[in-house]
Amino acid sequence: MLNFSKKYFPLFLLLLFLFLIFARLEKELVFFEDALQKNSDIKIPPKQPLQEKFFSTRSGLTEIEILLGGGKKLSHPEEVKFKLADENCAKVIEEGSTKASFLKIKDLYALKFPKITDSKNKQYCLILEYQPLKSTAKNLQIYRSDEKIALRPGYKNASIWQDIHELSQRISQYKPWFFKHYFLWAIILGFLVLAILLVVVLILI
Amino acid sequence: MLTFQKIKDFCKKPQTILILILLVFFLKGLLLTIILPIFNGYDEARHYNTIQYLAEPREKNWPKNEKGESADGDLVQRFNYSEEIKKTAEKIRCVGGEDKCNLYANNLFISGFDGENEAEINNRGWKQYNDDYPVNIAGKADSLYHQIGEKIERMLGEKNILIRFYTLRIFSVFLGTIAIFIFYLILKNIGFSPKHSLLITAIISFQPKFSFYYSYVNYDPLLILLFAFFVFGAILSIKDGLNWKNLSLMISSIIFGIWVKGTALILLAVFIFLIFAVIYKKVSGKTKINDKYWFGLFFTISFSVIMITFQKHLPLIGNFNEISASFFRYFLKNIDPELISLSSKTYWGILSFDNWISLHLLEIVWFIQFFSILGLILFIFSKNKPEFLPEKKYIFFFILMIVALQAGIRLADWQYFTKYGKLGLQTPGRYFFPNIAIHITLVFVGLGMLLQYFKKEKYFDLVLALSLVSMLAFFMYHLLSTLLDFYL
Repeated sequence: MLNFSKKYFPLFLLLLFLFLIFARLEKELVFFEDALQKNSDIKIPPKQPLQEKFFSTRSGLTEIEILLGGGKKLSHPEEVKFKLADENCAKVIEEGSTKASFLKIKDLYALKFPKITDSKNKQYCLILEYQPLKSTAKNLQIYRSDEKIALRPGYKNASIWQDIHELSQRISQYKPWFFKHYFLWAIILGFLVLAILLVVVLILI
Repeated sequence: MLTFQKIKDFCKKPQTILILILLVFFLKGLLLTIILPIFNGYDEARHYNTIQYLAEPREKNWPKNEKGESADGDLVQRFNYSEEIKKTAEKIRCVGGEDKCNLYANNLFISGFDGENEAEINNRGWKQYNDDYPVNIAGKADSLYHQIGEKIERMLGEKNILIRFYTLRIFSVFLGTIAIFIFYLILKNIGFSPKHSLLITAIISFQPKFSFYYSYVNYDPLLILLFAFFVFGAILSIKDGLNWKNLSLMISSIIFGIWVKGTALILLAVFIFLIFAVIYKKVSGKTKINDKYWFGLFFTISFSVIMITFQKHLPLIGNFNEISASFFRYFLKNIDPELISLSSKTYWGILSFDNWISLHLLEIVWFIQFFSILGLILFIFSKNKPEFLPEKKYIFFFILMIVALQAGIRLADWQYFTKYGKLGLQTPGRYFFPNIAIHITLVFVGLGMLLQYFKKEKYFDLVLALSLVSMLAFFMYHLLSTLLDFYL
């Protein structure tokens, strides 16, 4: 029993960790094209919707990142509700609650929704509403840039392979020729395959 | 005929697994070299500029601009570096304020494998030499590392900066691969079984921050390698006695180490101590004089020699009262939970994720290390050594190395404090990497002893296997964090 668990429990753990890491990578593989900037802020009182229109330059709109909270981490980001509507702010396409960014950045929050495949060159309307659980809650601070809410749309490609291809393009940029494209792929695959093989061999011997 | 059994036997050979460890470390280093943007490492732009400065033509017949030295914490573009470095940093839209590219600007990327400004960078239209003075130099300009870097820079002189810079990073990875090989030899020679030696070597090789550090242009990768050579020479001396091979290995490591960076001076202190220890071991019990007198003499002589040798490197300004007052002030400044945890955080690496594992990872590591310390205390005071662990003499030497490096770094920090009246070095974790193999070995010796104490030594293999899997996962999370930081 001990021999069995000594060998297979670490292997099971290895598989679990790798699965979690790659699942997270797949989830976070969202491409943003603009930088988030802030130069002023506004405060919105509870239950007063705020509208902002923005332009989607690509297909596969799946996330919007916004800056909230005035430097302090929101204890209940889910209290900030959002709706994604058409350009007239009339027809709601998606709605949900705000999530803290996976990365530990205090002001950064994500509005996530299922991928919109035909979002290219379309204008959308984002409606934000602060719905605090406590009636005594203060106003919500939202950052702005050039009189608009500081937000940036994020996109996913049609398939995970296209996402990985785009990621490899980004990594290849500003690198010497021997670290680009196929060379990059060879190094990544070589490392992953041999690292897993090494761990498996070391556990099984 | 090639049978399954033959393949299996081949895979089980320690040499095969060692080659696999080295290959994985090298590929991992290359991967990090690619993923980390140019000038992202600690003082990386400064080290590269130092190499470029050495590679300049001897006759500097170009006009010089006398400028003030840039303040610490400024953008790469604003330091007194060559035009090529500054323009490259500008063209990749280097964002950050600590003399390094902390981030790419988010709107940098375009579709395709070549960046928007890459052709301009590759065109080599900028000056490859320094004309802004005083030139910003990293540490000692004539450091052995910089001199080797200069040869590589000259060899690739006609290539673009991306090729030259990334080749220097590959050189660091190469140095790291040799260091991993030496770590294995150390572990094997102190008495671990080949399997345990391989497992611990693999665990060290996946330590995230150590791996990242070996992908940068910096003199520390060479320093860490020379520390490894010294430790190897020292443990061979402890094992087989002093001979010309061990002595030359240690002495050359010290000489080259000091040539690379001043930190290697602590090797000299350890070396003096070790020489006297070996002499003491030879003479004790063989004469009529009581052992404790020999020991007293050994300790006094070695301590005096060390103090005389290092007098000018110690913050011994003024009389005893002034020195103790200065030390007390320095000590009080260091009683800061943030500062105390800084070394550990930057040694293990902080994950930038907002989840439970990331927030408590360091506490888990401290928890494990706490039990390991208990095990080490048991190991030191127990009469029976577990068969699967090294002999005590090696562990004492490892502890001596840990104490020496700690003392050396703290003394340098105190010296800075005495000179400038403020904490400046802040002892980040990377300063302790020269002892990484020793540190991780001690952790497992402590855990192994604890398992033996509770008669659970059969679980030692499992502990090593779980540590290996966890370290690989820890590294992969760091890789994921880096990808998200720079490319998404």
